[in-house]
Amino acid sequence: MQPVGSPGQGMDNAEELSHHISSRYNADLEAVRTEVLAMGGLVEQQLQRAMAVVTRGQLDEAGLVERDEQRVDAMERSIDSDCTRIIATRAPAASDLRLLIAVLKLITDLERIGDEVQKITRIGVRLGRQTGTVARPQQLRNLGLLVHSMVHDALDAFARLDSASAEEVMLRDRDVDDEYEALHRQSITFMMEDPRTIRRSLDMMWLIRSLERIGDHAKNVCEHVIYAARGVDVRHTAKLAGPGIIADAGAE
Amino acid sequence: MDTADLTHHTSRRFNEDLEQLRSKVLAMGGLVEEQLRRALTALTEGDSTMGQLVAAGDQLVNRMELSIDEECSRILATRAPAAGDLRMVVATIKAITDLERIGDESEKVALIAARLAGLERPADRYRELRHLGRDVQELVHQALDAFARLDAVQALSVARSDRSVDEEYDAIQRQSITFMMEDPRTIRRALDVMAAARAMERIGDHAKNLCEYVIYMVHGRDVRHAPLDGIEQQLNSAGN
Repeated sequence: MQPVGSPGQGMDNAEELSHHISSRYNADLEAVRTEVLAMGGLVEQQLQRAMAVVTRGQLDEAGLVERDEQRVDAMERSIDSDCTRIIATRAPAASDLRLLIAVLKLITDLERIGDEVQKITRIGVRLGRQTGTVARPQQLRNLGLLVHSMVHDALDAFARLDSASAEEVMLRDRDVDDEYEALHRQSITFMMEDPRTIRRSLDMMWLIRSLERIGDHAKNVCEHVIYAARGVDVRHTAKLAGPGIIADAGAE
Repeated sequence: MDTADLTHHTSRRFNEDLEQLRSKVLAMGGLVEEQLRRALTALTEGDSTMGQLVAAGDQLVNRMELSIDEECSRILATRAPAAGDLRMVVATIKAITDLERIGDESEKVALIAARLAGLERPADRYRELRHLGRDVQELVHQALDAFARLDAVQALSVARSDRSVDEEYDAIQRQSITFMMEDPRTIRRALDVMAAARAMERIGDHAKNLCEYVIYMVHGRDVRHAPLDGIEQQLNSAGN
């Protein structure tokens, strides 16, 4: 093969070509980022719908959640294949490669948030049909808002590749854990006091567990953002036994 | 100048890289299997000390995940792998997340086991849980085996048997709820049993994910979220 950079007009062409290639490349990367944000936006919306079902008994929202679940899955697959294609064809360097690897990982978390949202919706529908309303919706709403803000701000940190806000969002996971534990203990107490509430309390426990898991996934997204932005892997650095373990079965 | 040799050399080093990556993943898989085995032993034997051991082991699992991740990034950055090799690296990046989660869930089982050890044990020594545990263990083992041998057919059959795990899980949940309602004094224990069953069911899900990555590696087809019957037909008609 002839070297491209031979003197004369070839040089200009080469420069033009490489400019062209790199701007296409940037457009590719930008497209991936946009896709991730679109997927994140949809997942966020799904979460809001699920919470509307649970806390306000808006059962019609459940149909929308179901309708869009497949879209979330399709988006995950499409982003996955775009990332792989870019890695294969563009041989991205350091920071771009980090971004793509972070995306490959964080879309798994987004998809899992989608899964938890489905569970929440299903339970919300069941509870709504039984009682018309959920007991203690205010506390659930608080936990829901907390978790939703984590998801939202984690995606925002991703959009701006802002590792400082990602770190801040991660800290909020503790608040989620506190809320979770409080609600969990309360559910156990209700069950023991009045065994007729066992089924309802169990549903409550699954609900809050799903919300707590969504908080965990938002935290994972933040870890991937920090990796993309700074090249530092912060996973497992302060691994504590979360409430998922400690309070799961409400021992003590 | 012998460019052919150079290429050969480069690709040989590259192959070594990939081979090393594979054995690291399998080592991590082996450790995760061991963690699961310990957790289940703790549950069946009513052993309250195993929890510590599993917790310590989990740190090692986490370190392996980070190290394999780094290795994958390095390979992607320096070797620019194509097609099948690239799929293997990408699948590895995803698969180790599932392995790590299997480790996490095993740790949960071990902690629950430690708690249950302090309570009165039912006469059947948690028979259903033991069965579920054994089935899940088998799923993980076969999934890792399919990964090691890049066997898409086995991967598919493992992914299918996840269904029976789900059924066992549902049965345990229903039974536990019945126990709780009949005798509210057993509520705490029943909740623990339910939590342990849930952790096992999740391990089954992660094993299924591993299988999906094996199929992706071998066939380049992303089978997540697709019905398994359709996939089998496609794989068969593709002559595999």
